[in-house]
Amino acid sequence: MATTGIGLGAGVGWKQALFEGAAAFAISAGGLYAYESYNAGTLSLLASGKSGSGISIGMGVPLGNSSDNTSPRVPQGENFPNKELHKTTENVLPKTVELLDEFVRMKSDRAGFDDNFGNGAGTPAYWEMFASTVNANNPKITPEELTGKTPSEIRKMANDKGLKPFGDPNINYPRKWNDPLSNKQRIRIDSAHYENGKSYDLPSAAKPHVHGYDETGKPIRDAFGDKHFPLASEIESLAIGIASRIFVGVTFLLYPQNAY
Amino acid sequence: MYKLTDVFNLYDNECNDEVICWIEQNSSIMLRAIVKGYNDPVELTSDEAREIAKKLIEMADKLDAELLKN
Repeated sequence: MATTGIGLGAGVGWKQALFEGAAAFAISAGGLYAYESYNAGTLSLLASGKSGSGISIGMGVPLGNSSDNTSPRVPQGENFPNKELHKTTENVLPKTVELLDEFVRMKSDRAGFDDNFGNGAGTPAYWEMFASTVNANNPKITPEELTGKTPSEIRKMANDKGLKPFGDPNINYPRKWNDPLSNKQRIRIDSAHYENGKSYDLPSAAKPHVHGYDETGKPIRDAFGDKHFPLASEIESLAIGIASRIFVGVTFLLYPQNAY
Repeated sequence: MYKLTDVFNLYDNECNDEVICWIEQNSSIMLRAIVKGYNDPVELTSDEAREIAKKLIEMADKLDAELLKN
């Protein structure tokens, strides 16, 4: 984001203004760059001034060549070095820091109940949006995405979401996937559970199923609170697919007027 | 009817898993982990296992303190 502005200090000479402008620009730009990394959304507010805070962005030119102190580019006059100028320049950094502090304070004080920010900051919708972006990069998995799927459909979904497969490469690999960012387990295909040779009572756990975990590692559950999502059979799924295509084909042959 | 103290329930009511532990009669720790309505054990993540373990250790410390008093 490129942000520029022009501002000259009031009540000072042009040399001082130029020098201060250059320093202020450099320091403010650095501060703004750092702030942009912190929160790009707030930067636009700071630069636009919609929040009512002051903006210390200046413009200036370099004064002289630092390697050649004998040939200054700008006439210096009798008063050089200007103690007042030096003193003022020294204040630039603290003032910039103060400005940023003030902005952070203003944001935290007002954002909770005020909606006069240009981008809607402070409104419930803004914080909802902010909360939703906290884990924006972690893949999302819904109960619906785990329901009634075949193992190959689960594998495709995991691959599409960028999950990292792990586990023994010799046994039904892949059947477990981790989050690419948090490295927490996100999906696991399990075979039917047995206890002392006896199937579990819970039907969903007594047949091959898939588990899903949210971004925080909590199990994903269906509407009944069950975390076992039974897998559809590949063969059944294939048979149903073929049967449905045959049905559509026969229907088309028998009733071509209804085909569209 | 004895009083149950320090009842710890890992899940809310909308879940079909049930993991509950409590101190009974200031003399023992009871642990129940079952899928509601079925005779199945509860499957835990490592985080959930740690949470239960932490609670059990707290209860064990409390029970030790109670047993020393009596």
